[in-house]
Amino acid sequence: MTRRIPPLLTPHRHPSALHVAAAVVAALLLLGALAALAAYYYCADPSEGAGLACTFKALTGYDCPGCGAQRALHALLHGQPAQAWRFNPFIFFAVPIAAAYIVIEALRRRHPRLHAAVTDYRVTICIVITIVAYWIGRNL
Amino acid sequence: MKVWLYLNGQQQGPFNVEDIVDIPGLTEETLAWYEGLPKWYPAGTLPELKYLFDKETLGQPASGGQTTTSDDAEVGQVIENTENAVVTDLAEVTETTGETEAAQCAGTDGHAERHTAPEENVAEAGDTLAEEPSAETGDGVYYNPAAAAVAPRPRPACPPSYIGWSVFLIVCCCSPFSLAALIASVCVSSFYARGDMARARKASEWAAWLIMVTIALGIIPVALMSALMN
Repeated sequence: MTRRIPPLLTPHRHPSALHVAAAVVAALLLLGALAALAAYYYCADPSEGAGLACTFKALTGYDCPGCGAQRALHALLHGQPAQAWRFNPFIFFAVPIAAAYIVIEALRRRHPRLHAAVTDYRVTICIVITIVAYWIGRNL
Repeated sequence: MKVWLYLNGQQQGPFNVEDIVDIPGLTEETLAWYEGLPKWYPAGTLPELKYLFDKETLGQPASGGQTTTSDDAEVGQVIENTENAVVTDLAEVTETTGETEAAQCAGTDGHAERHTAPEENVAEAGDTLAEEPSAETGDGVYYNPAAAAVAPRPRPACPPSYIGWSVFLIVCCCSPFSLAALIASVCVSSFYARGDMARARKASEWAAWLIMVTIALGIIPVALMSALMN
């Protein structure tokens, strides 16, 4: 009856050195990849054929929701946000929202309430409707 | 029966078993302990607490009247289920904490226990059920189905929908696969909203695969082609 409560399965207070090192290496790799990408799109101009060609546009001739994103990135890196907005206004919303979702899903065990709120089916359906509406709208 | 829970980074309790449905933040993965367990387990894997998270048995406690006459077949089923659940959930716990210490802990001492413990639990659950108002609990605290039916129930967490990746892939490399991934992502939250956990998990897997396929078939060949053309 009065048995002692056993210690928790993971009674950790400090993350181990290996764990911290792995996180630092991962963060550095991610930063490096982002820097390389930025350097590429700073130098190369997608308006002149650099970068990736859109499969959807090649097949159908219509713009996809992401068409213009590379040109917009090039313009942004050259300090022309207005020009970037003209190439593709959609990525100004889509990329931050997508990044936020990726982070929230990664932390969903630590913040289950937040995760439940943002992945509510009404919210996600609205996201899809927005994407499809923009897709159709930009080709009209 | 008194239950201790590991919530918000600290051990809390004791709680009466019928009160813990009301505790905010309690999920299947919350670590729990009660008298007789060798160590802490995710609440969803414990036979005494499992009913809190079972959609099929909503309103009917797992330790209801009919299970007092436990057939051997039924008990065997329960043992099998809990055993699987414990193994996967422990794997998940160690994975999410990401602690090498935790991994070592599970690797060294947890291994033998992990397989024997659930059977003990089930046996013990059976024992306490057999001797009705239970001398062990002493204070006469027992599960009350009427109270629990009214109380709001914590639900198992939604499986990952990967919608962030799907949206990102729609924008950065549009293909039929990324559109399919986006639809699968939305299906996860829709099935979850309907309470269909099995389909939500399935959709989550689909979304993950479609995202990988999009990257493999969308970005890599296009990048290669672009590199060759220029």
